[in-house]
Amino acid sequence: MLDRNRFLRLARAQFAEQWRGWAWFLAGVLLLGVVVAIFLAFSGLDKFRTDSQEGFYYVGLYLFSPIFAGRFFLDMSNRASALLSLMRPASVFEKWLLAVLVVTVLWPLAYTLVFYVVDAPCAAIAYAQAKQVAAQAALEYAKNPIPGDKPEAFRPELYQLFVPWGGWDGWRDAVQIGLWLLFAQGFAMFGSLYFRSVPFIKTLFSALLIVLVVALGAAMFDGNPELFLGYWDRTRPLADWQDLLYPALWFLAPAAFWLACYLGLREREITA
Amino acid sequence: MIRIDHLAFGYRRSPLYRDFSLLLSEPGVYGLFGRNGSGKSTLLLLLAGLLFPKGGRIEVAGHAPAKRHPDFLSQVYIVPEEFHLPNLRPAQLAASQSSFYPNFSAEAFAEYLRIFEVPGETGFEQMSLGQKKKAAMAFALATFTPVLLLDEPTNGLDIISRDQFKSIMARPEQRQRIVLISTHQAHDLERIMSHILFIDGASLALSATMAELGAALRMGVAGDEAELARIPELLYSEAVGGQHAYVAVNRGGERGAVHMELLYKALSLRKEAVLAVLASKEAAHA
Repeated sequence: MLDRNRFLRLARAQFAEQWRGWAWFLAGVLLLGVVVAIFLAFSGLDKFRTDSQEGFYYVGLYLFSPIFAGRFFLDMSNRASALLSLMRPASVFEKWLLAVLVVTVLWPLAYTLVFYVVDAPCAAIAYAQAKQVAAQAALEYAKNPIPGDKPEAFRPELYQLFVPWGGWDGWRDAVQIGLWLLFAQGFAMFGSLYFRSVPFIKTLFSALLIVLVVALGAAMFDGNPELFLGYWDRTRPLADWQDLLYPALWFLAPAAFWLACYLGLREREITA
Repeated sequence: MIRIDHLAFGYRRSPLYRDFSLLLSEPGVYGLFGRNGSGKSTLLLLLAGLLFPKGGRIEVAGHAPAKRHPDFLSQVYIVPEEFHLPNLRPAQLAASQSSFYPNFSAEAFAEYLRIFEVPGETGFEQMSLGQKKKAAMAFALATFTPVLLLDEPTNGLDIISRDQFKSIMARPEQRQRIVLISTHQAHDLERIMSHILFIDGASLALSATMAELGAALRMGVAGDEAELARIPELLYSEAVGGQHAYVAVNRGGERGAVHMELLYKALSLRKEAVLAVLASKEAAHA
């Protein structure tokens, strides 16, 4: 099922074939990040406060991670390249494991690196500028104090360089972020394996359908979707059955999609 | 070795194979023939484990292909008619893929690329379709997997390239493996084939060596209709310009040449008669 040498061979072959595609994707993310950063810089460097950086980071992560995951098995949408991939001498588990590692470990690391390439200079400039503006305001106030118009002192904690775990409120936040990400990536990969033609569009429509069904179901049966979707942020105690069912569903949903990806690879056929 | 027992397979509601059986136990170049839609490409995909049989059993190199076990995959290589190569140079392809195939020969790969006149330092995306096909073929041939499946290998190749392919296939090192070639280019490959398989009506209509075919059938060209009329036990004939190509029963002791296109047409249009001759020869031999 898993042979270390064979797995390394597979990883090497996959990397040799796909690194260009991955690099272009990261370059696209970088370019988009630069464009957004320039746009934000023109509308005020306060947009690079720590909490804003956090928002950009997670929006980008949740947006690009499923797209990257959906592209991992891009070759499966083409009969000839799917054949080459399926005939590569490695087990289905090894092919699946490689996909899991690249998508859930390497991709977030690469994305974080690209994010910092754009964010770190912007955050540093915003920090320096906010500090200078505060100092200038304090100086002017000292020269000409106007009662009731005392400028705010510079608060460096608002302009710190964002770190992904900096805003987490305990382990629940980490679990929630991780599970959301696993769910989105697993779903995107599942779609890329199961839809033979235009998988991206079909997966997107399926995701919209799921969102609608979940929202509708929550509205019909509970009236409060936060009970399930907001389970990890809950502020009030839940019934025992909810405390069992909801976390189980949170873990089962991504697991089901990742398992479906494995089965999709195993059962994939190439028609003549 | 390839063994198929009572294979059943079809797409949706149209059955393609019913009770199909086949045994290839000896190394050699096997030509797989049949009319359009007879399921030749499908058979190759079934043997490669890329399609799953609906019934019966397939065994290739000691494995059930549908399980796609890594040990099986390292012993079987398939080049489909519509093939794909990653955007690499030949040397990069060898560096990243060859380790999957224990018998891969880098020397043979370089030699086959040279024979095919494929530029070694050019990426596949910069190559023409024919060059890519030759590169894919060179790699497949250099893997030396015990089983090699080729679907229409000469499609897209020019006349010179077809000769290059035949010259490689005729090499002794390629005679140590089972090479199953599905093709309509019968004339192109008759020189390299050791065995003919003909699929018709969802089953294997013919499985015979070239020697058996040559001993059972006589193929040639008659100068005119009068000469054609004098040929005994004529099975099939067709006009070629003012002459007539024909297939007849070989009653002499000499082994005649086998012309694949003629045989193909005779099998397609006079199947029962041709098979009856082959069966009687086989029975007499037994």
